[in-house]
Amino acid sequence: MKLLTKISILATSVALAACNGDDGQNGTDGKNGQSSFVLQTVVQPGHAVCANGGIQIDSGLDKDGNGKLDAGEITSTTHQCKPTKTSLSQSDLLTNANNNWYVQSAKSVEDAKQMALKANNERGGAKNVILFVGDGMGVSTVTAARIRDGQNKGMKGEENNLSFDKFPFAGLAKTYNVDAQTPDSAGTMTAMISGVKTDVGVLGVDEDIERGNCTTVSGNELVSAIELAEIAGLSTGVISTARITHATPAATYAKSADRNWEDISDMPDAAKTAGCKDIADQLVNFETNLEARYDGLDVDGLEVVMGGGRRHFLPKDAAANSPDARSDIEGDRTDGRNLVNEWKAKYPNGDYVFEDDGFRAINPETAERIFGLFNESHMQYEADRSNDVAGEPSLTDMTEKAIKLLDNNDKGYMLVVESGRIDHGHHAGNAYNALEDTIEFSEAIEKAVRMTNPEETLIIVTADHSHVFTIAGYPKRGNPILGKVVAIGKTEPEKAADDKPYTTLGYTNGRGFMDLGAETDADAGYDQDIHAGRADLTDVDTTTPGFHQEAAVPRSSETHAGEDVGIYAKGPSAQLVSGTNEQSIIFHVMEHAIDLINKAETKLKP
Amino acid sequence: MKKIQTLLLLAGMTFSSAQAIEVCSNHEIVGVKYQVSEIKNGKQTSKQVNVWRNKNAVLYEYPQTRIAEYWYKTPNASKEFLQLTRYFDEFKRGIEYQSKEIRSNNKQQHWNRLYHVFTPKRLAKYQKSMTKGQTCTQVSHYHIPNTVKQVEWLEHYQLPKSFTLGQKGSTYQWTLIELVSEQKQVLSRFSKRGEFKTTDYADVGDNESDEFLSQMINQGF
Repeated sequence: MKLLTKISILATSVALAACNGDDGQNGTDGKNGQSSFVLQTVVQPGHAVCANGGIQIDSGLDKDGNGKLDAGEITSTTHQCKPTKTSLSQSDLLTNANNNWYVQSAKSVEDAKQMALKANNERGGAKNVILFVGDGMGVSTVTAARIRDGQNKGMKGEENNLSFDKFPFAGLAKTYNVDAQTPDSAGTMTAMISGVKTDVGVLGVDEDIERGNCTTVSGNELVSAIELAEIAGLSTGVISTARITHATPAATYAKSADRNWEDISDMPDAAKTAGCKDIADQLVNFETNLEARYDGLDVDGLEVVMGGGRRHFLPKDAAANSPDARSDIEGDRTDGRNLVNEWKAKYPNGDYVFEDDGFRAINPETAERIFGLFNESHMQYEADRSNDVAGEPSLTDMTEKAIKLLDNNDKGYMLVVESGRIDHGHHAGNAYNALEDTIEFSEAIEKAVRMTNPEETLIIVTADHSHVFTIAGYPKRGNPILGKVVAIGKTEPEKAADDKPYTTLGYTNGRGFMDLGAETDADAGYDQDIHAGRADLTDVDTTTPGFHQEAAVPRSSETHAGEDVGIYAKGPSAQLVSGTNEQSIIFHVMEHAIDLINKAETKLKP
Repeated sequence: MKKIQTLLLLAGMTFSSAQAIEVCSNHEIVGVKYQVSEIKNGKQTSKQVNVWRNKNAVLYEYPQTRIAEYWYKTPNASKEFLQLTRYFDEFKRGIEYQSKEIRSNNKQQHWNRLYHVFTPKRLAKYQKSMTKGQTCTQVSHYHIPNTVKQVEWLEHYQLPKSFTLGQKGSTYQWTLIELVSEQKQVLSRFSKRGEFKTTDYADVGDNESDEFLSQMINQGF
């Protein structure tokens, strides 16, 4: 540096003065000297040398004179590390312990410990069982519905919990059918309700069946949990927002070589000739058929049956139409039979209802049984329910009424509740309806939780299969789940490589983009052209009921998916739901909880 | 029972006075067959569309594709619905739709277009020039001056005998080639399709093993 140079010159000058001669000329300035630097840097815990943090000391000369010590100029590095800890003090965890995520999670673990301690492993420890099945309610559907529900309540959404998110025990179910990687509802529900995995499209029979061949049914019939409960003397009920003859509810009471044999007009002549009965017939004659299979058995039949599907119970005759019929001839039956009238004759003290007013008029504390057929085909989507001609009860309404009626039996009850239209919303590529129906499903479960004693009622919630439904992109926290992706710190939607915005929710396949505005019926999209691939959503409100998400692969209908689904459980034996399982485990958990087989066997003993 | 009659309406044909004194056939149960011609960029295309009306139901047949669309309006006035079933004659199968038009704000207009082929609301914008014929066979002529737009209107049936839309050089024309008032013949069109197996479109996604549905999933419904 210049200071060093000047001292050197001064020393030379003093030496010359001592000679008393003339001063010579000043010499030229020497080169600047180099500065020496010593840098001290605090290093954090986890550092490669100082595991608990400390100080790193770098030293060297500023060779390039830029006023700082560059990496290449460091000639020596030493460390002064903090001493290694041998114990963790409370103060070390202060940051964690003061954080709400930490507190919440710690409490969850404590709760889990308590639940594990209180777990009731006793066979027959439960008096009642309720099985809730969300048709097509895969894990992504649960997540998206949870967020949607939270956002409907004014929350950011992600932190919200659906009713069954709060259940203490959960596991996974592998959903494949015996003959299919991606399953359908018939095979999966048969697995859940009978404990045996089987083929696609067949109900209440094992894999030795040949689909569509009536003659292969005999000898391959399975016994369902509903049948065992009926034999054991429990009250029994089946509810669905789909047709009550649809695959999921039908697997509880019917044996059929084809899920589509919902009424006799759906059956091939060979099946009719061979003596197979259609599904609606099997429902109305459930008691008779069950008694016929076991010598001396006397049961009282299903106490609760509610759903859609009147067409399969009524003759193809306009004279048999319900007051709220949507078709000119409501019934499909070609055998002239009116199964509603047959049910009324069989159960003269029962209540048959076709609309909401009649449903509400039933006193479940005194009613013997209910047969509710609220629609010609499937019941309405929850978001569309107010548009029904005569009015329909919600899934929550039906669940509440069913429990109030079924719990009149001191021996207990088994109830199966299906939210059937989550599946249909997805098939139509309309997330709005799929999510709204999932939220209503959650409400129905919440109602059941509140109405039952957790020490005597096992509640299981699951799905039969999932859908190709995704939550994608990097939307910021609290971004509307039905909206376009807006990134962290941004207010405008992100754009993809094609310079167009995109939604968080989407489908791998299906009919693709549609903007039907305020339309609350997902099925309205079926009369529109298929529009797979990308659309310019810049000016589209993707949060409306009538928005149908984009799909990559064009198809007339979006498809099921093959990944695992969740099983959520609370109540006696709920702890048996854990890990990854074949879907058929659900039957065995329910059977263990109520000791179904032993109770049924006891009843059958002479 | 009213006397059944089948009237052939060909271009330039007038109704006979003998028919005029007959009791008019039921205008709620009637069939009309149209030749639909379109001229665009000097090219003419044509097809046939048959429309069958049975009270609250209307059936549109498209013979070229062997597809028929059946529309039914519920009689419940407070909550009307339109139900659409599309029949595929080749397969003797039908698909039930929840059509977008079923509950749209233009539902009534949509139904009127189906029921009358040419909506009375639209007709009201045309100028009436003359009326010919007796009660049952009365035809009124409407047009919009200085355009090609004109309508011949069968007053008793509330259906067009013909209409032309568009502009010079690009026109769209429906011309009646046959009117069927024989009830048995009309109703048979409905009952024939009523025998077909139908599927709620909501169930298509769960039924891909069904040969017909599988084929239609690829071809388009």
